[in-house]
Amino acid sequence: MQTTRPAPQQPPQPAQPRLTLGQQAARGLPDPAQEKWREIWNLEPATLLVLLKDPKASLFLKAKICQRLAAVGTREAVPVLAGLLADPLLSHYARFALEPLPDPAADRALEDAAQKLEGPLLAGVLNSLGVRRNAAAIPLVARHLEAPEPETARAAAAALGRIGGPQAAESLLAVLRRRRAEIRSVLHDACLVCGESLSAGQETGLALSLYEAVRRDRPASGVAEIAGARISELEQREGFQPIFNGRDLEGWDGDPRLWRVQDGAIVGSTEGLVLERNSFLIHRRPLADFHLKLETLLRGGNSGIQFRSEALPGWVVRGLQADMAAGNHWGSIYDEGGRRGIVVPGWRGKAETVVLPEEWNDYEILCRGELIQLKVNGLLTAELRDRTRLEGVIALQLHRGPAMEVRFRNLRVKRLP
Amino acid sequence: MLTRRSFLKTAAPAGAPLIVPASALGRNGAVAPSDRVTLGGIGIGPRGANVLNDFLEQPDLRFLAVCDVRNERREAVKSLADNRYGNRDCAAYSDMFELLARPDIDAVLIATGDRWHALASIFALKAGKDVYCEKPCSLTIAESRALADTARRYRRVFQAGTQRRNIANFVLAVELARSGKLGKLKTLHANTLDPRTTHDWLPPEPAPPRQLVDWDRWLGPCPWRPYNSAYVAGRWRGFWDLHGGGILEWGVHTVDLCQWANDADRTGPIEYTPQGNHILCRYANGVHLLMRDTGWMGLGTCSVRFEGELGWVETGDTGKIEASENLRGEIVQSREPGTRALAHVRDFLDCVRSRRLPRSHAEATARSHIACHAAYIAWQLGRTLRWDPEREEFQGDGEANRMRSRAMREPWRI
Repeated sequence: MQTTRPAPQQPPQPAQPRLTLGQQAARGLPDPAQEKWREIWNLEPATLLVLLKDPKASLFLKAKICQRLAAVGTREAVPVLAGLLADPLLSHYARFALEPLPDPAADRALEDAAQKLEGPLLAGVLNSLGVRRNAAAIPLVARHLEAPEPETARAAAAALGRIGGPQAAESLLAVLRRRRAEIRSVLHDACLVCGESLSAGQETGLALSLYEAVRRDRPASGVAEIAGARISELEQREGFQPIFNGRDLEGWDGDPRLWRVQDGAIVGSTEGLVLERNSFLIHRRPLADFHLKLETLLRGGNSGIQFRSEALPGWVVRGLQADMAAGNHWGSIYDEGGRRGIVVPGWRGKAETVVLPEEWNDYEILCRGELIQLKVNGLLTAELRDRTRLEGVIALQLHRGPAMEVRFRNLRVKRLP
Repeated sequence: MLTRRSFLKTAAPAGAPLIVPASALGRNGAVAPSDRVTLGGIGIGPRGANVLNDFLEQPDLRFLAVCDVRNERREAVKSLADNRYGNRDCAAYSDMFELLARPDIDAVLIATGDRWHALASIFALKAGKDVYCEKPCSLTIAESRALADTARRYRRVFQAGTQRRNIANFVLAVELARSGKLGKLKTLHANTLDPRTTHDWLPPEPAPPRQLVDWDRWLGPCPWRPYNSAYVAGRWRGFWDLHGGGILEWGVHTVDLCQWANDADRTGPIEYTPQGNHILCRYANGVHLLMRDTGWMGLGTCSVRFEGELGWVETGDTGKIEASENLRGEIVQSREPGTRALAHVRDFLDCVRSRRLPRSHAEATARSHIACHAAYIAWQLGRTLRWDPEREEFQGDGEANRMRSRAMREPWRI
């Protein structure tokens, strides 16, 4: 076997072997392969390109030139390499050279190919765009998330995860909501990867959205726990604190016939009782500006989460509510005990696209000054500017009417400055 | 006096015991089926079969399935397991994703050719499996980084098949360095092989039917080349596309032990200078690491030598240890061959149960592999390279940085 590297003290290559190599290629003579690699290693990039363009150059020669260009190719090599991207045998060799090539022209060539190729070659190009972490390619890569071929969509998802950043994260979140089974596990992985770079870059909020989306999507065994661990870690860093201890109703006040704690969750049930009016479990500490997150599971009926509300005697509450009901009202802002009814509708076209009926769903309320935002399963469903009451209690609702049950768990709050 | 056992008790990075925990054993020493770790094997050839036999020795292990792109090997491993268990239950797959999709498999042994190690490990970790992967675990710096990141991200137990971290004479030598018995360390020596590889393609032969040998899957992420039966028969070593060269081949054991001796499991040398087939490396703490293929005392393959201000020690695969006069009293000779994986396998299984880091965990493995890759890049380029172990990039050498990764053949990616 011959060395891949000429001895360092080897004299510079004379001009003649370059010609010999070209002539050999032109005549289609059998390659003394290893000798050729020694020559290739010592040739200038410009000479390598002349040989690569030679239509009579052997497949072996072209392959080896591409592998050498991986380390030394320049901008001038890009058009020649781009011309090989559609060749089934040489496409990978072309990417071998383009993927580590620093000049942005390599990005343009790969982007261009991503609009023309299909099948495995397209997947390869998407993979290379991901390796290069080319943010300019995000919209183009994101379009391939919709590709009918699962392998293409998977490559696009992985590339977005690797490129990272807010724009990639938003694309991943959007496609996760569509719940396409055959690309889910790759999407989950892409979200975990993207979440790491976002949280390292202080984009904690968006990283949390990604991890929450993964956990909600009922991922493969172990992955929900991984996302959960990252969520706890980031929320602690962000300043979120639990307002329910998972064991009893310490800090909360409600009708003891209606509320209990079971399996680490608050359970409100009207079973065996007929409510004459809505009844609330009230968290007694008033909050002004805050970010509340919780998980909730609704079985029939109507419930909701009061915020910035006024507590009245007899577990009655008045004020704004993040609403939810079986089959409607999720994601809406409702004026409980007031005259405005539904203040901002959040169901049609919004919450209805993301709510999992009779399953755990994520609900978020953000209040900062006059700005109020609701999110259901990470999707913004209602936004309101309101100064009616800038401070008040949080409370959980059981609605009068037919028997119903609602559960809440993992309630945590971050007080905003 | 220091012995191997006392060292294992005091200095094991994860404190992992080398005996079967009592909790793993039912009454009469038999292990209840629910307490067994279940294992699958991917690409089990000659070395893989050795390691698999060490796994099969473990009372708390059950081997459930094998995967190979070669029909012949698939059947051989199935027979091995079926004969051992006296049934015909071992499942055989040609597609690793079918094996990895089985929720009843806890861990996998990966012993494919080198080109598949990183990728198969990453797939297995993502599928929630703990992984024991034969060495070398990567062909590039980028593969090693991705592998360690994936093990951390998915919180899986990963053990590289660098079993000398659990072989008495090597552990004792490392202990002498780490405990200060050698004084301040000066130079660590790692036995490596001739770095050369070739870029040749063997002459094309007609590829056999896919159910016998799946050539496309055999190549996996590597550049396409025409089929030749020699590769598949095991003669793929020395081809640059398929193999990392002689520094990596032994360095993943010997450089790895030097890293451990220098308490450098989460960093690496900052400078690499090729001197013929030797590579002289320097750590930020001033310690030198010399990778060399000549000048050893004859204590066996994969030798290491640690030199400090107060003394030196050298050992190799024969188990014999030589040391400076002042350290002779510390030495316990061993006859255990350096290739034996039994204790290393046990360490892995204990960690599968305890969720602790095994001796050859993913990050330590990545760092020693990266040192070997960096040395090989310096050798190929024939010049001194400076390395930043934090950013994991060469300083001021674009060409070297471009050699840190290789584009994978579609549709594969890390």
